[in-house]
Amino acid sequence: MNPAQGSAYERLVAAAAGLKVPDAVREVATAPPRDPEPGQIWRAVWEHTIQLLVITAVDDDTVHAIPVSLERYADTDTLLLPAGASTLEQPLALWWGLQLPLPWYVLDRQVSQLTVPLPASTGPSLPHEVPPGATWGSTAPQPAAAAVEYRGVLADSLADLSGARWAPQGSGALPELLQRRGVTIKQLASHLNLQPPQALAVWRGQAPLTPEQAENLASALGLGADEVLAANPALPAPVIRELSRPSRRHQVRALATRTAISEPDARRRAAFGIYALAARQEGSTTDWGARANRYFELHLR
Amino acid sequence: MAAGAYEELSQTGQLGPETFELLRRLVHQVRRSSGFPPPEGYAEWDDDAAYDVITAMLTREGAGQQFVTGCFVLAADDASLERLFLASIKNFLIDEAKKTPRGKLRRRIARLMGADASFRRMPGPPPRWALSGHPEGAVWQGDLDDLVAGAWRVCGVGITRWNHSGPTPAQTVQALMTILVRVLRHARGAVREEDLAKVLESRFELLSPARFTPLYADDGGLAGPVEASTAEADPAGAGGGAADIWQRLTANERLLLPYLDEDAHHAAQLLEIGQAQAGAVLAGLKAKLLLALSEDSDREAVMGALLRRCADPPSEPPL
Repeated sequence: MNPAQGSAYERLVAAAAGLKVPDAVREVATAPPRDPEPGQIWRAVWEHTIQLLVITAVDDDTVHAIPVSLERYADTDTLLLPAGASTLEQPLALWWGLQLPLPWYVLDRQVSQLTVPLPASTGPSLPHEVPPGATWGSTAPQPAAAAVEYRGVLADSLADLSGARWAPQGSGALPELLQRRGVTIKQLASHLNLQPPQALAVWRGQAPLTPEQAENLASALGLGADEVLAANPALPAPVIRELSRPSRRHQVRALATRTAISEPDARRRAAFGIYALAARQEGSTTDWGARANRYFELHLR
Repeated sequence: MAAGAYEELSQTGQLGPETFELLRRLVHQVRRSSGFPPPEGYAEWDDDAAYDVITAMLTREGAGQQFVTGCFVLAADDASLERLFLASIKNFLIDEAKKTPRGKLRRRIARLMGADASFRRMPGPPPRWALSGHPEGAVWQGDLDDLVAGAWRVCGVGITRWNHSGPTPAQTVQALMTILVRVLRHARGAVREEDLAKVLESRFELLSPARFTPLYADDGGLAGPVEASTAEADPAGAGGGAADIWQRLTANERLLLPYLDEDAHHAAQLLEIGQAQAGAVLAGLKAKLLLALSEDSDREAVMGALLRRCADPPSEPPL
């Protein structure tokens, strides 16, 4: 704080000039997201939870991940990696014992990559062999240590991410609901402005309603839109999977912004939209990626 | 030009004018809400003082690079970036505010040890202290956490006052000396005066450590550690013991005091945090109380006085 070195603002600019996010981190974080792979470090985001994770294994629609922090906190079950162990170029703390399966759709951005192999065991017991330069943290020296509470915070974050859901469990009860209310195919076609074959497919439970159609029908029947939507046929697993991929997240967010709804609502709307579109097309293929592309092209124009 | 600090950081990977402006605004927000004193060289807060605080924050060894990288990878939007900035500024200002009382504590224990034949000061810098019975030249070189853990194993000592002008109260002297003797006995050699002060800080929670701030936490408990030690102590007796314990409890721990028999689920609802975190806070509170309510004190009377404080908490001085 020497005035001879210029103004306070100039001193700040000079101090910040040498600070830069590592190129490898910036490159991967700004590139279009790809499907996750073990050894990658991701930022996971769901509603009010944000957490850094290292991916240890990848399944069809879930990843197994351990929370990572740049914080100063550690305990005996924390694996401390040196700065050279990842492209972040910062010492990292891996919180062992908090690993949980997480759905793909909580993954927001890959931000880094480990440059050392993770220990083979990621289960509850601590692995004997650790990467070069890595050490285990030490015992919390006092009661109510910040590290103990911090582990609790991370456990809660992982539980929130692990429990994140967006895909409705459709009951398939739409045909019963329509028949119970005495709605004919002709009335359905009229309410929803559908061609008779499309109305027949919906009436038979062979095609889902879009959220907009569910709202129209609900208001005609004096029901809640959610109630009608929940009676849809369940979404096919490939549709859910396609919309759960990290590469779809920016499209889902753009749709949410454009339609002023939440991200999970936008994802549901897109899923039913894609499903409904496919069910009403002749000779439908199973290329759900292409169908999703088409849907977003139409709705994000 | 970037539309905001988040976009600027995302696009360039560096801090620029948008970020400096946001940081300046947030420094003022934190110092106004928490009453931090202006940095050295300033009689009062202004924009230059705020810029100098940010500069000092960024130029601590390794901290600036970690700050930039951490914010880049953790922030998902402007709101989360702002919360990261707020937490960093608050933690930095707490660390800065601790420097003065830490120096005072060091001087005080140096004076006390210098006047006591049980201790011996090693010649030369940095200042180190050993027990008189230790061999000449034996220097401790272990992990500071071991000494802190050893200090925490000593039950039945507590202090109510140390950071005041005038002579240190006899009870406080005895408590400090008890811990210093135990720590040095454990170390079997001379320990740096600075490290001894850190052990005492931790054991008596004289200067509460800066705590983490979850990205989306409500603006409460964790972000604002309770600055212990500066509150006036009550007279001796149950009220004094309660005052001693009360000033070491965090805001969340104080809220949980009347609900010690409840489970983590209840604690989580009360504190509006996750269940695992609430369980840790509850367990920590119980451990603290167990340690503080030593065998020879009148536990029921002290707990009663503590619970009365929950109903009518004394006002806290600013940081």
